[in-house]
Amino acid sequence: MTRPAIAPELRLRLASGLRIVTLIGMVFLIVGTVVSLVQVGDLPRATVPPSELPERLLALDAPAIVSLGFLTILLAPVYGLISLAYGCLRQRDRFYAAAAGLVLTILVLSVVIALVTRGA
Amino acid sequence: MDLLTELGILLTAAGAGVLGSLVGLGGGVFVVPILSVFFGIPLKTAIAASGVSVVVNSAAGASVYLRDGMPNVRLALLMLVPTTVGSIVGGLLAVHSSPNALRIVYAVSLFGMIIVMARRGARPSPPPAEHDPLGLTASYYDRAIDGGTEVCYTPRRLGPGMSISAGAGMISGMLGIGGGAVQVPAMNAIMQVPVKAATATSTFMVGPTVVASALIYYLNDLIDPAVAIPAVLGMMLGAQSGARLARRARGVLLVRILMVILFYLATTVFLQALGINVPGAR
Repeated sequence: MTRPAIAPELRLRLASGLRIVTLIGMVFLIVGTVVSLVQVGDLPRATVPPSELPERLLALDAPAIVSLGFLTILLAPVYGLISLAYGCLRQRDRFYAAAAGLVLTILVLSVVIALVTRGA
Repeated sequence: MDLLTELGILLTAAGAGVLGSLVGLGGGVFVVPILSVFFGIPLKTAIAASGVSVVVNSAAGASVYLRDGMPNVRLALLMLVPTTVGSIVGGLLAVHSSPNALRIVYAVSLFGMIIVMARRGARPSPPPAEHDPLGLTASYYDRAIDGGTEVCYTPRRLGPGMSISAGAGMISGMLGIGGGAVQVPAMNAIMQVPVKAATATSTFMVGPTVVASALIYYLNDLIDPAVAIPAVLGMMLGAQSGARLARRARGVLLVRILMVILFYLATTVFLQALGINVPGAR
């Protein structure tokens, strides 16, 4: 049996999605860097906890913009997995939709574990 | 940290990106020991910065490979299950281990990669299997074979491949590197996936693998933007130049030179772990 691993349109959508999300993250990093250089003449030395991010972003805080850049970059593969899970479901490929869902669950679990063990 | 040091990190990361792309290891294996040994940057900070850079490189590389239809996405999804679990364990070990323990693991892993590089050689893949219940059979167009031909294959021995993948995930999470140095030879030698498909599948897998540990680094405040931003930008620029240079570079000689560099870095990191002072190192 020979068949492509996934539908070509899903593959192409995934390719452009990964590129766009990464580029958006890079733009945030560059904007944050410029703002930081203008405001304090150096790069930030720490990231901002996600809970403080919205408030500090509204204040155009450079470390917050940079942190948003890092988080956006880290979201690129997550976007890829969501896109694959959705695409597989639409193709009625439940087995691989479940595999993508399981990997996403493991990633969510990594956040929970990081929050629980933080500072331990 | 002054702007000159940040510029130095950018240039180092660019160099590491070039070298990593030339031998298909990714820049992390070079950038982490160099930042730690010669810039005096804490090992965990260097690992976290490399981890974020690896995600950027994986996303950029995977998008190119996906357009060409090279990665076996179904195989990647199955292998990502044990790999991401391994990566979480590795990320937690990175956060909670002592720097010297990490140095020893890093040095041993680098020595292992040198052995893999020395023994590396593409193994041919058998024809696709008739029985393929998981639908893993895939094909891609290889321009290099007979002026262009369709290569069709079926990944085999999924169990052992997935077990090794879990180990690769752990090393990746612990050391902030992509893990392709373990994944690609394992997929080729054990699962009989052609090297080009294995490389593309591994590149696609690196993103989700490293994200699991990178989120742990982020939430444990290990990402220092003053190190991570120049590292990300430098590695991205370097990886793209390296990919272009790789087409013209003389493979065998280059690999030997890079093996010597890796050996030097591995030995330096190992000696530092033992508390032995190395000239030039911080």
